[in-house]
Amino acid sequence: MQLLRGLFLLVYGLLATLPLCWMALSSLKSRDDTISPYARFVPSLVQEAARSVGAPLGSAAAVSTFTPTVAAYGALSSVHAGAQGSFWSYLRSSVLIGVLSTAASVLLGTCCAYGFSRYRIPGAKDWLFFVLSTRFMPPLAVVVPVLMMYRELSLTGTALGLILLYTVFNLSLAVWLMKGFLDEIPRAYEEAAEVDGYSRLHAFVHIILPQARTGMAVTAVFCLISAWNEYGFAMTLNSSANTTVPAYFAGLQGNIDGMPWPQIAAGGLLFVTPIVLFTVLVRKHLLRGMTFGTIKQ
Amino acid sequence: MSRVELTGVTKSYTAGTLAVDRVDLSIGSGEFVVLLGPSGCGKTTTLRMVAGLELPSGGKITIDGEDVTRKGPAERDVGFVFQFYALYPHFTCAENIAFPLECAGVERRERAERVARVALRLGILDLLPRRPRELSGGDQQRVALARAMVRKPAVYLMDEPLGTLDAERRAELCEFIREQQLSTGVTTLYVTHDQEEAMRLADRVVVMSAGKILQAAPPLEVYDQPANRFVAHFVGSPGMNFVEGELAGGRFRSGHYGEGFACAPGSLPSGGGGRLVLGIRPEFVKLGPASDSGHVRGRIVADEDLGSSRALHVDTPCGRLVARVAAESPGRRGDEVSLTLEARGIRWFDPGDGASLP
Repeated sequence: MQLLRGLFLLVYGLLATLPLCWMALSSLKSRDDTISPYARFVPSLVQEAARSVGAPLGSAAAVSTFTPTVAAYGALSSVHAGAQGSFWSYLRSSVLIGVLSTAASVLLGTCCAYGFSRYRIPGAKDWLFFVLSTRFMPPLAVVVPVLMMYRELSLTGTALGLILLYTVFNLSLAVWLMKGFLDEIPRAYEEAAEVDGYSRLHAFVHIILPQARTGMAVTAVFCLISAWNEYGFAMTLNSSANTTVPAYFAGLQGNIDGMPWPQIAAGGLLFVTPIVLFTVLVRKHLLRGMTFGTIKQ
Repeated sequence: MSRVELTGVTKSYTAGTLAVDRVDLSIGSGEFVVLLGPSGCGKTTTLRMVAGLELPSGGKITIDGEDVTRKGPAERDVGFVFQFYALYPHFTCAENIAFPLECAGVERRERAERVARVALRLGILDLLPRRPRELSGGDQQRVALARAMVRKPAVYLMDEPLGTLDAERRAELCEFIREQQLSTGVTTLYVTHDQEEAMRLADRVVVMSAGKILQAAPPLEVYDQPANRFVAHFVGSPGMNFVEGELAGGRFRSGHYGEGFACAPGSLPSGGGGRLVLGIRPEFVKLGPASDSGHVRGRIVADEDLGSSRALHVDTPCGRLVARVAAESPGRRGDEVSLTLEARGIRWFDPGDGASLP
């Protein structure tokens, strides 16, 4: 059993990480190596040496190796034709827009969900349905009206424009997720705090929020991933360097020398790293789940 | 030391149904009052209205003469102990206990001192650095008690604090709560559905049913002179026996027991005869061999072991009667026996509204 499980994990692990490994390898190749008809996946620092000892040209050993280079990472710093900035400036925008819109969604969503969870609101169910209904339509269906609106408000080409947009998109998800989590927190905590002399707001900040951490972490992961990977609006509303990394990759397509694959692989690798890091950081919260041990229900 | 007065306090959740129905209750300074009743009788709602956690639909609540009916819990100076402890899980026990003091603006050093003092008193000093979820239910409730007792509020309010604990812990904490209350002299309102707890703790027991107060009296009086059939049956375990019948000329006849039996003159109601309900507690039903000349004969159909005593359920022509006898006394299932109803244990009730008759 143990062996089977280990075997399964090994196979699955290989399958899951293979694309990432391939991307990492590609980022170290020269462009010729990435578009070679043979799969070159063995980085070799001694390729020339291998050739010189007489391995015939075209033999497996020769064709499957490539000479690693970090040139692609260097190329990320240059501003390619048609772009407004280097990869790094796009990444900076991505971080700014992703973090701020996630923070705003989680914060607003938590406050809103707290209201729905704790107060009697006339027509609460209808309101919640309305909140959810904002997600019924694919967001890209409204790209033109949003573009026209943003032009009037001079929000096109700004980071603020995308932050607002992503916050709004993710808010409904945040409200629904957080409502579920907050409903699980017994009211007795707030009641205890109120009897102890605290205001409702104080109880919310000092008692409820710390216990909603798990929910907020989960919500933040969802919001961040969605904002981080969004492409359509980032592309349409923003042609400046204030836009996010997905738009940068799209811009590389017009390159006159063909697709710069090593550069795309290098950028892609750097682009997924923050998300992976963030998810690993909050993993403790994600896995801990709802372990309230102090109020039985 | 504070007086708490409830005048005509009413709570309705949806139109038509009253959770609490015009409750009048006056709790004296330093008094320990227990609200006792089955679940859904409105006792917890009453308590929560005194705490300010629920807003009454009508009536008035005063603490020390001050009208607090519309005030929030923070403005009332009460200490509340919850059934499920409600300890803040992300704080240590020490931080939990210090929490009310922090709000009151007590300085850090004094805070630590008072936390230590109350923890010492409750025997939980060693629990202070731990988190609530690492503790057993009994210990958590001790910490919750400490949180309420670290201040000296006008009133302690306790909502079934021992409801989730096992019997041993319950008895131990019960004693402890009473001790603390006596030594601090803080007026206390305590809710429970457990009559034993109520009897043990209370200066005065308030029996509630369907949102109304049925009787408010010292524990022994509630047991001995129940105000009506409900109280008589709810208090005491097993509850009081009832026989419906007709009293005429000193003889009580039940519907299925034509000849009836003579009642001792001292046990007759002052209002004379007529249709009545006779009530008698199981310990006043005496068992004898079938040959005895008791009040009524019957057959034992169930034998319930209560530990120190046994409850024998006897089918008689007057209906089923429960007798409480010593554990070692004879009488087994299937035995024919004769029952004698002790005169001093007989109570009379109105067959209509169930009210007790003098």
